[in-house]
Amino acid sequence: MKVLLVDDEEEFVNTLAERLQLRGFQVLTSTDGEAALRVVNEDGPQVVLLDVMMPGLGGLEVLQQIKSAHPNIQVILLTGRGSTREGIEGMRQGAFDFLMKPIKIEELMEKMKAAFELFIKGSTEPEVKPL
Amino acid sequence: MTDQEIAFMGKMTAGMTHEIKNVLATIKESSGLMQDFLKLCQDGPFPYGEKFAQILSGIQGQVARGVEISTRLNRFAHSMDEPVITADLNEIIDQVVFLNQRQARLKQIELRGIPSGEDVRMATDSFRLQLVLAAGIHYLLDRSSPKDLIILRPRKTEQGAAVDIQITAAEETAETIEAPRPELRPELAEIQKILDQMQAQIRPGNAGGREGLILVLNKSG
Repeated sequence: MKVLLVDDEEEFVNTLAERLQLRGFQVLTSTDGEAALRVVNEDGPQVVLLDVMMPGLGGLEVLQQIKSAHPNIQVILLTGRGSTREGIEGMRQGAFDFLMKPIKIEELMEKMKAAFELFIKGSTEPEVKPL
Repeated sequence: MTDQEIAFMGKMTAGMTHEIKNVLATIKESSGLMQDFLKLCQDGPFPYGEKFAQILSGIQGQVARGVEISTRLNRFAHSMDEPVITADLNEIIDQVVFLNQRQARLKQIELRGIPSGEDVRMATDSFRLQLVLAAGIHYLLDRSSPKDLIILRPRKTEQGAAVDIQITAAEETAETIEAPRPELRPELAEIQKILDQMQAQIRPGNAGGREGLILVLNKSG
């Protein structure tokens, strides 16, 4: 599975990326929204782990642009707020799911696996075109 | 404080708690990565492996504690976002009890929220409501003895809602009996202005002869 991890906290990104690599994932990283969109377009990850609150292009804006250009890419939001409001709003906008930071690695793995399965399902189903 | 000043305090606090959570998230991942490497070399010669695992577990426990505190503080900060919201009194009491546990613990008093069996929601100023509830808790903490229990329990009333705050013996949760007394002590008179703003009243009430308070919230407030 190729996963893109996006968060403006560089040390968090590097550490979590290494943990995911140890578990066999191919991990791409990005520390801002604009760069994340470039990676999405150029490297085609199947799953994106996306921080909601980032300087510049925020997580929800990045989510909208990813889902608009690549509806099949599954996005899991990472939110640091005390409430679930942003996560729920993100799911309304097409996110696969959300997790509150700090994350539990086992929970993240489960959600990534489920997101990847949905990606595969979306890739194999024929597109239904309107008559 | 004006609503604008409260909102400013809330915004600053919310921003800082968010940053603290980012720090904790990085510490958690760093200690998690160390655990990962520790597992990879558990079959090799590493005499302090068990000690390392124990220390890392301690770090993760403290991270979890820090996350809980910063999450609660973040929620408290966001209660300053809007002057009036539809508040769930069961949730507000849970929050106030958490935020005041330290003061209670220092006096060796147990502080406990008892949720109402029903949904108790009403439009209110949640920040000022927390302030008033905390004032009630501190008032009773000063009148409690070690090993006492202070309970907070919301309930619906015809006018809106009320919160009983009582000193009681452990496991005793008798119904509140309103006992008219001449007036409240000066400590609580200090929050009278806030109560007036909320169109709320706080008055003495007791349970089983122990001291207590009743916070009465009116729908219009």
